Amino acid sequence: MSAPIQYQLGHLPIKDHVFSPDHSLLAVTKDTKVEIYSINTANLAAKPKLFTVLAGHDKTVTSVDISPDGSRILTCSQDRNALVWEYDGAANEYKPTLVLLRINRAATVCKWSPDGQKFAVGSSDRIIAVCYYEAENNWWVSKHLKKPLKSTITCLSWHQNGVLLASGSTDGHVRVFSAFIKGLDEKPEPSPWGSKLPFQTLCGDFINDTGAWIHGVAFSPDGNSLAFASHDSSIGVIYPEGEGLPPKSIINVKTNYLPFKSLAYLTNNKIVVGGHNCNLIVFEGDETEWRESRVIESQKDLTKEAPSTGDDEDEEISSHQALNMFKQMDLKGRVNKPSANSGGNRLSTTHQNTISSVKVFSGNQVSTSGIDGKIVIFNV
Amino acid sequence: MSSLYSFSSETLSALRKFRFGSARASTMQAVIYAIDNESYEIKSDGEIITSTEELVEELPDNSPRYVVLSYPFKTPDGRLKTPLVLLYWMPPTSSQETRMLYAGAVEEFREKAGVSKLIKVEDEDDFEDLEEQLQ
Repeated sequence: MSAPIQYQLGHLPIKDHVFSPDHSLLAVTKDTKVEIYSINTANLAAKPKLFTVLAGHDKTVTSVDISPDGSRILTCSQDRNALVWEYDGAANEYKPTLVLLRINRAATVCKWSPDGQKFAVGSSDRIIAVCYYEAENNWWVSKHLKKPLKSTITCLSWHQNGVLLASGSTDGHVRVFSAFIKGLDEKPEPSPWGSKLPFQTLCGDFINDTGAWIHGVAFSPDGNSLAFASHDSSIGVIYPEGEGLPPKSIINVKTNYLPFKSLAYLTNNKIVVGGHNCNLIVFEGDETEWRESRVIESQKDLTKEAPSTGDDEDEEISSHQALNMFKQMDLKGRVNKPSANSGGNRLSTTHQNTISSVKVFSGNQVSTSGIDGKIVIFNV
Repeated sequence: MSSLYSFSSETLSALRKFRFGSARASTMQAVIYAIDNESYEIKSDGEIITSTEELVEELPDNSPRYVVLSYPFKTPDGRLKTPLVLLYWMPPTSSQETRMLYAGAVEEFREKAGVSKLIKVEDEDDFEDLEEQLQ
């Protein structure tokens, strides 16, 4: 397996990132702005060039998404707004259009539907806003999914039919709604989630035994199963039976890692998750059983670091390292003895801090963004 | 002072006919009026709608409309009343531009239609207690 490709884009945390469908653009959230970088698709290892900065929000941008045809960029922020950015070739810049979501709290996540005609925005206001463009009024309309949401929405995922929308929330529930818009969507094919699906139908409501916050949710590529990552360091996979029937199976895999923050389906039987453990874990399975298959990077557990041998004490310890040692003692309450060998307190994984989002890059590659300001493309 | 909005003579005569003609009807009668985006003319497609469900279906989800409604019902002391009201359909998902457009014309439309009562309707649920509001 070749080494992962990393882009260190400053040191500010990146809450969310997205590549354009042809991989030529990379959008990352940076505090109240979104930075757009142009990627050299022929040579991915080359450092990305900053193309432009989208500055339209007053508060932290929580999520960014690019439409499946690559023409529109969607951003949402804690300032309760969502902006749709369209490229103006003449002015060589992106022009924003405000979408009135009519929510009273922060927007937490936004996702384009698979056909790019509408998008969903989750919020802390216990509402999911499904928005679409109405040509006759030249205006983005936002319809609300309210019942029975009672808690902040943390993650969203569209089914490939563009009608079913899965949401994860801080009340521990994973819910599947119908976001069918009359006049915009065609009636979807009947699926194990349901057949007749007017707007706001609740097609499924699932919770695991701990009821911990749901951090990530994703439909499988064929749409017949739904995976979620929970704060209790477990992942769950749901296989529905049919409308109104209890699901075929809900499989829960508990792990001993730190909680996961995001997950992505590589194939119908392979999921990649990442989170506070700064590493990616691959899970494989099917309807009957899911288990952890492997860890992408070998990780040294720093709490179990072997004590330094006698040789190190003779070597010169720089004052910088000594200062670091006392700082760490103060901060973490434990001592990592400075030695000329250890390069400070770097983690053994590529990411030096929590992975905030995991997205599929290509058939066997995933891209991740972290709070350390890095975007890394891993081979799975 | 000239107004932005115009009424064609057919619309005016249709309104007058509706006012006087609907008093005898046994079911409710409603006509939807819209403002044309280019000419700012207020007109209707002429269809008379006879049930609440049909009216709810015909009204657009994201655009305001005026509805002239005549709703016959029996008062507690046995009289048959068919009051003429103006329904001001204003869904919250409509754009600011269209809201202002319709808000500006509502008074003028009221005068031309000769109705005294105005009921503001925001979404489908408001239609259910329509009858109570009329009494």
